[in-house]
Amino acid sequence: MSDPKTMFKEMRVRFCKTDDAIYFSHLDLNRAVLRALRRSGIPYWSKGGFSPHPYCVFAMPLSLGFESTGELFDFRLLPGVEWEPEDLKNAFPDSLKVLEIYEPCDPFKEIAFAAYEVELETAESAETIAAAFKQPLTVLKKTKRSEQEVDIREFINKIETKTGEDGLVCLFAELASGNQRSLSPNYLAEGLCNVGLFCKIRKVRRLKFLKADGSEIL
Amino acid sequence: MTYKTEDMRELLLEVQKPARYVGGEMGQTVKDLREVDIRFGFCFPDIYDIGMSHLGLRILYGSLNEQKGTWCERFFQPWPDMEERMRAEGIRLYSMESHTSLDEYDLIGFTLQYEMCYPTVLNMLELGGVPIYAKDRKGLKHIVVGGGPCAYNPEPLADFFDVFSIGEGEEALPELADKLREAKAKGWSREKFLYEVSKMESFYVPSLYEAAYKEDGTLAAFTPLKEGVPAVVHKRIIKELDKVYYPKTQIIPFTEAVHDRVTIELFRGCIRGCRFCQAGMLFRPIRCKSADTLIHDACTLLENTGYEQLSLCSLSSSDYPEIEPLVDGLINYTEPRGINLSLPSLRADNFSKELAAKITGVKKSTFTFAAEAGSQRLRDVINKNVTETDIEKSCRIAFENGNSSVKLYFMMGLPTETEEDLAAIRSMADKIIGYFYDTDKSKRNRFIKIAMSVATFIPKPFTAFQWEAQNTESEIRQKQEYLKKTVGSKQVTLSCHDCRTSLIEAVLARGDRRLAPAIAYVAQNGGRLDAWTEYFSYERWQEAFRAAGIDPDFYSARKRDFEELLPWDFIDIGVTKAYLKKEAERSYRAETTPNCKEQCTGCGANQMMGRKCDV
Repeated sequence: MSDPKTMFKEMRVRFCKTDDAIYFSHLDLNRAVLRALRRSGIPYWSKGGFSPHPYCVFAMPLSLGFESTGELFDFRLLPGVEWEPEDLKNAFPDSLKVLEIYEPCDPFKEIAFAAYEVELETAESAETIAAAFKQPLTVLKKTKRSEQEVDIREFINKIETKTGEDGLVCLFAELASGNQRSLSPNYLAEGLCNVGLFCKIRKVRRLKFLKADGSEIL
Repeated sequence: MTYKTEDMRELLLEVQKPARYVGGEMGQTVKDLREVDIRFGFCFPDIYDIGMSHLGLRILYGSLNEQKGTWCERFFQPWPDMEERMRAEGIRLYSMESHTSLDEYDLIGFTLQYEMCYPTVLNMLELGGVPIYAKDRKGLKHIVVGGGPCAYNPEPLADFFDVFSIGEGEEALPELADKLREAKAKGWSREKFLYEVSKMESFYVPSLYEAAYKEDGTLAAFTPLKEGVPAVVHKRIIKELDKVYYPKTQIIPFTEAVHDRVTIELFRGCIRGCRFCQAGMLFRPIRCKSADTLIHDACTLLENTGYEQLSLCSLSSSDYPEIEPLVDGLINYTEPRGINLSLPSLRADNFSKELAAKITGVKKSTFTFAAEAGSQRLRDVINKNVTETDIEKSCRIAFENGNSSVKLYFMMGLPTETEEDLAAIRSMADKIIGYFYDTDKSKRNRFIKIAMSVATFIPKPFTAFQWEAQNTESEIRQKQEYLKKTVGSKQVTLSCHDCRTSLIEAVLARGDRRLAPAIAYVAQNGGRLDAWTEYFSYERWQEAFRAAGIDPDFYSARKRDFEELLPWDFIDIGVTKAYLKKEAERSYRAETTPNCKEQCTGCGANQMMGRKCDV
């Protein structure tokens, strides 16, 4: 067996999912990225089999309706072939703008948290909301297998509250986001509602992925 | 009205697959409104997922947008969850590109691919804020034009459309846009504009004709109302396919379309002359693209889109004269790039071993044969010139190549059909299973699966069977019961189409102007997406016919005389009525007609291009 390192070079792409791309499901996104890779004409490494396709792995699916300025996917380059990163950038639509292409340092499995910016429509002040996160905030957390009452604070690495524009309250939250533990930003609103602080999510934007020590995945 | 997706955010996040309502795909055309004087709303009367698969849309969208000053945008029927929300919020049907409501468009084009879309057409107009009846639309706006296969009998829709474009549209539609440009510049009235259009080649303006009926309900006369309006409308064809516009790119949907791939069109027309087949007559004469052009088109499209699948489109693709060099050339490009090449519409009789091997080299897929009828006699009646030996030969090749999944298509209710013909459907399955077990064990698969699909025959205009009666519902049900009793085992599955859709389709296919109130009734009573079983309501159609005082059997289950004036007789498709009549008479004697490659049978279509067909 030849050494995989000589067969391809791992590359990482940081990209946005904004504007109308928030309506794309993860499957749609996957298809769009594979086609963009093919269209770009760059020397990508393919998976074999009956339907060979570019190797491509996403850091983490993003819920329908959320936007992001820090999505990641990895692909593989054939070694020793010249290529232009611009060709790859140009193959993406504006709503999936490529921000950066680089050689990755950290594998995706090290992702422990994701940082989000959440805009809340609420009559409450930012201070009241901030204070609420110092008390237990229980929600009924649903997974495919079970439903469980949890205190969402156990899933929060860091949270900041600010008064935003148009009377919105802005949350900057680092939430557990890994294979073992994760929390959707939707539960932040649910937790607040459960203690009588009525609010509705206006917008969610994922900003970046973090490792267990809080540093950014690179 | 122009909408912003941001303002519809909540609504979009509540409906299924919202990506199909936002547009913005790679490959779409966006123009600066300051440089646009004609806005063309291209409407596909089905949902996005279906419409985006349609090759005609891609070609017409491209050719209209090539024209300076014309901006063609796409409209689709939303899925009912979305439509309900739109109506509740007062949102009109809007375009994919600029999210502008349909009522702001000058020309509104509908592609009419199948009869069951008629209520959807009216629903889309209404949802877009455009009056559904042509007589209620005023000025030089909202010119509603129809095209596609169903426009060859446009009469059931005559009250709703201003214009029909008969035949191939890639040159005709830009000409129509130009004529409207002229009308605007010269300040013509709507009437004057439509009158001028009626004199242009291949355009039919229904309001300028009058139909008179006999006491028995049949057509007595069909006459132009004004001088200069032609009594016969000739269809449009593109004479040189190699030279005509073909898109260099495709719009790439974010959400999956049904046929989400690059498609190239090999040729138009068909050499076969199956007597039930409407497309085979409508799209004559036979004109081919050269293999070089096609390979070039395919490579350009694949490079520009990044698609992983390429398919060849035509009737009976394996009749393409340069099929081997074409497949060779395409495989040279697709194989090293991991692109899947699929060939639809293969005929049992000319499927060569070499071709099979080449295709299986790429990917194994199901073998599909349209046998259409079980017995040789009935296949001769319908002129489906496939023999038992042909089927045997191709099955053996397929099995030796490791294929073990066979799909067979049949039709039921064909003219002169007897119980023996139906019984032969069963025996065909048995024979195929026999060929499978005859095949060398080391070459063939372990199991065989035969899927039989039986549709109900619908007599269509411009076919040799245009005069025939369709079976009644009880006749069809009896035949289906008989089949279900005889066919079906572990290896063979049988599926019969719901005949009720076919019964309605038969009425609409050979209908006349008097059907308009029934179609309007269906649309106004919630009818849309009738091609989807979950939204089709036979009862609603029955109610509509009753309300409009229409006897559906008059249109579907009545055998016509050869002398009867048919509602579509004023359209000239190239193939003559005399030829169709001769074919009908041959069918009664179970006499076959050779295909165009063997001998020109004088259908008349080649007169349209003044040369021989490309066979």
